[in-house]
Amino acid sequence: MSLDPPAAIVEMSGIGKVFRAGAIENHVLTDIHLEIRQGEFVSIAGPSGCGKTTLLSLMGLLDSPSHGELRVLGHAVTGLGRQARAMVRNRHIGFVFQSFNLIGDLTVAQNVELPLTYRDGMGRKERMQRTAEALASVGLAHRMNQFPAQLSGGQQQRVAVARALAGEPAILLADEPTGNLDLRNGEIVMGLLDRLHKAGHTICMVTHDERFGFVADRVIRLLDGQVVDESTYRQLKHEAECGLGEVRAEEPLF
Amino acid sequence: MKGGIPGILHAWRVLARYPGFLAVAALNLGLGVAAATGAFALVDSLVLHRPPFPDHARVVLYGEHSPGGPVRYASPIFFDDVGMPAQIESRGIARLPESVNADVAGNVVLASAQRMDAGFLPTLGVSPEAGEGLSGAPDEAVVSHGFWRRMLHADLRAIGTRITVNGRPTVIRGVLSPDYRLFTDVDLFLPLHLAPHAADNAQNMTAVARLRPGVGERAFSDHVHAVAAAHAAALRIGPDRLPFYGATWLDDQVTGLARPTVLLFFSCALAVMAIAGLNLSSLLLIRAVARSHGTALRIALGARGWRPWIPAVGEALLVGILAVAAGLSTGNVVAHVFASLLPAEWLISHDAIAFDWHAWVFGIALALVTLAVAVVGGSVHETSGVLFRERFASGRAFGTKTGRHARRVMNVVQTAIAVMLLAWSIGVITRWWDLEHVPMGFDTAQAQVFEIKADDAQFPTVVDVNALFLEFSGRLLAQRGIRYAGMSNHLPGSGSFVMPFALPDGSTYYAQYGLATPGALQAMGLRLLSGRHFDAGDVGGAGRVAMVNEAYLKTFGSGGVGDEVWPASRLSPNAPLRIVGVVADTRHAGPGRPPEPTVFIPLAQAWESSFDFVRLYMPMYVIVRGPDAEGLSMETASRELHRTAPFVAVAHARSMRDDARQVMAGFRRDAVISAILALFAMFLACIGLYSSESVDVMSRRRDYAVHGALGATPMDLAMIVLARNVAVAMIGTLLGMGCTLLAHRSPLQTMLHIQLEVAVPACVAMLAVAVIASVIPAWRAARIDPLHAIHGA
Ligand SMILES: Nc1ncnc2c1ncn2[C@@H]1O[C@H](COP(=O)(O)OP(=O)(O)OP(=O)(O)O)[C@@H](O)[C@H]1O
Ligand SMILES: [Mg+2]
Repeated sequence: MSLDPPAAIVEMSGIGKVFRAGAIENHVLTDIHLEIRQGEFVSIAGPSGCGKTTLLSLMGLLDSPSHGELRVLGHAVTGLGRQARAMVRNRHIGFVFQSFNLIGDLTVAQNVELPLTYRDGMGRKERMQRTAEALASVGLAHRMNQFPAQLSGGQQQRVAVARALAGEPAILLADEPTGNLDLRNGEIVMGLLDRLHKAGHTICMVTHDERFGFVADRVIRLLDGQVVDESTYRQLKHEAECGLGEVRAEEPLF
Repeated sequence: MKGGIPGILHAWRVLARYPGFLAVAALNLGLGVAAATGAFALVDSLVLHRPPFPDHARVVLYGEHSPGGPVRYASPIFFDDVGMPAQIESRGIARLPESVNADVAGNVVLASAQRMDAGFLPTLGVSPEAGEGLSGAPDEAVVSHGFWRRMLHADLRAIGTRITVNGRPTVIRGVLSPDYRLFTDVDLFLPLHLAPHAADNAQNMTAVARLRPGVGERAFSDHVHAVAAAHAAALRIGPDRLPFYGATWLDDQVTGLARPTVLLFFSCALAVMAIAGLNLSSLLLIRAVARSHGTALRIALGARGWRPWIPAVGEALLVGILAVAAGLSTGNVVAHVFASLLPAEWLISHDAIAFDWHAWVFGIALALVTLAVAVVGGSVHETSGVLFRERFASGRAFGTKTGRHARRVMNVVQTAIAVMLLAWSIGVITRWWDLEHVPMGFDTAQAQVFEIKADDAQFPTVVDVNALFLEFSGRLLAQRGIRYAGMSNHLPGSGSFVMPFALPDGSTYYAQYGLATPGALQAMGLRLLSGRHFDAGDVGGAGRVAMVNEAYLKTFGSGGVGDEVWPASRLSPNAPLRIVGVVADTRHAGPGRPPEPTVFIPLAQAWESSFDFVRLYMPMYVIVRGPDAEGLSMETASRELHRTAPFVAVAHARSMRDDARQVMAGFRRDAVISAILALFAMFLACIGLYSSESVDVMSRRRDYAVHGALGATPMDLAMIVLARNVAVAMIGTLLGMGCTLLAHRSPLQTMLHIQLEVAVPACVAMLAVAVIASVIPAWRAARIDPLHAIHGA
């Protein structure tokens, strides 16, 4: 075991984001400094409109910052073009969206395989294998030939998690992954993320829901586009009153 | 929110911001309207239009029709044999129109005349508009309305006066109404005198009968057939020809020629319209998708009734107005272009093709129906999109999957049609191109052709005609720059008079038959391969001679110069002709056909009976050749002719070069039409592929954004669109090639001349079109921001 601190996956220094609509400037994020390290589970919390989604989309290279520098795996990515950013997203970043965003015409397996198809030099066999593994890890291997519309919301979100994992990304970004789910399904998905974290995955999640904050090692609080407070997982857990559901892989969840 | 007219005007202002979309949508629908109305005008004028005869419902044409054409012809003998059965009220007979020399106050023209008995026009129900009909006496004429206007200054006092027809003074008895027309335009209606029991068995007559009320076409047709069967031996009707004898209503005869082709054309045009309509629904769907958020908002804000759909209706109206304006004017042009290509026999009345209010109403109604269907399609999408949004808060529209499949199927069909038309068109074009380069086999440069009619009234015998031609030739040769001059009924680029000749095994073979004066073959530019040309010594008293071409030598196994030619016609004496010269083959039946055996006979040695036959149905061609031949004016030729024959007209002057080009006109026309059809089909297929892919990209922005968020590069996104369109086009192309292959194997091939070698360029062109159609949607897809995956499209 190494005593070196784990490598930084994402580093933000002096990040700012300004949206311009005509003459009006909307400073959504200002001077953000943060670091997410290998194996961390970071949660971003804050009131509606404070810029959580914006921060996540900057981290995921879906958008580019107006100021500051962003590094992914130690490489500066701020100046990259669309093509290069797409490649970084594909290789190192996994996304889980609030509204699942599965492609309706594709089967569960095809959805999971999708990010792999954009990777140069990956053979069909390897893609199939990774797809199967990813689906197994969310407990949906038996559903792979069904279409998203045939699944429940919770199952769809687990497929989305599998899709994010299939590419073996350096970091999993999730924007309110439980936002469209009922409490029970929310707990199952959150349990899944927790298990993934324990298995060594790096996760950054945005959530409104304070109840799920304690799953994270660290909570970043945003207020009016600024990081105001950081508290640890252990502190939050202490405040928590309710526990989480257990997720056992390989078994149907319903 | 605006309702009514202001709402519609607002929708127009919005749509005006998308001029490209507006142009494509209007062009697409306009093309459909143009094709449909153009074809409808033809159907209206050629099939639905009734013949311009009053009281024509009981009139039939009877006799035999050839397997190729529906019109019935009869011979004088057969007309006699059928006689006047109890089923008919009256009957009449007319000969096929011929050219005559008409001299109206010193103005000599070659006019078209039809000889008919006194019963013909009354049986049709036609009586002159002014004056009286034919009485049955000789030397009288009824004139057409056109001739009366052109040549007689529309003066009613002309009735009762005389004009000269073929040198004979002829009294004008009446003027027909401007409506009269039966298969062809005729200037003069002259009396026909059939000798009782005329020995003429040639089917060059039109026989008509008016049936008694209550008698059906079937009953009389059976009678005609029975007569044919009873006289089959005497009339030389083989068992294979017997089924073609009968009678047909005049109405059906008049429209029968055009009906199959015009209806085929009309159904093709409706197919084009249907494709345009489907494209339009996709195009309107693009707008519907773009608007559906607004529509949802309108409904959410309480808009009820048809108000939320005002933008949809307004945009459709604007597209419709532009499309109808473009479509009707193009349809008018289409109708007239096709009308100019129609055989004259198809026309029912003089005012060829009427693009009148019928076509306008049809076009507007069709456009409205198509638009309504397309708008409803788009609105259903909007409504379902709205419902879906309300229930599931997702941007994806409900029910588009079926729509998407329908669009794909349509794309496949469109591509298949386009590929078929393209393959056919490339075939037609290469055929035309190849034929343009087939040597005609004769020298087309420096030669000119006139037509003259040496009628039997002024020039009763071959000797008279020969004398006229020799003298006229002499005068022409005296002109500057004329080396050769001669006359013939045959032109090397277009002859079509055949006579039977005996093959060595005793059977007969119909060979092209050309009567020629000395100098005529040189003037035609034929190449002499062996022997000599006709000369002044080849006259009536001298040994009978002939010239033949290479094809004759091959077909008849002849040894050439010195060998004998045996005529086998009843009209010729049973004596051989000696071959004195052999000329090179020419493509006289057109470059697409192999050369036919041809026999030339000196005009001075023509048999009287065969010559009468020839001159009854065809003009004689005067051909001059020399450095100044093409510059010889019709006035000069007329002046020189009138010194010898004051009542003979010179007509239809053209250079041999033009004549040869004329032969290619049909091929060129086919090439142009097929290219236009193929381009239309390609255009529609292109719009189809473009619009369905655009709908797809626009209605599934979020899916594309998700692809992007998961790491698809802009190039990857563009490739999704491109690959799908190319795949659809490939399926369509395969289907189209399959159908082409089937057509190639089918009997249709004789008509279509499909060349399978052109399959490859056709497929490549189609795939290129698919790529072009994908450019804009692919570019749109590539530009979709992956952020939409988070924020929603
Ligand atoms: N593409 C954009 N253009 C302009 N303004 C934007 C855009 N995206 C976000 N904003 C603005 O940035 C601010 C922050 O938005 P963001 O979506 O990051 O908030 P959030 O913290 O995720 O809120 P919520 O909890 O409601 O999802 C908002 O005021 C929003 O109006
Ligand atoms: Mg958010």
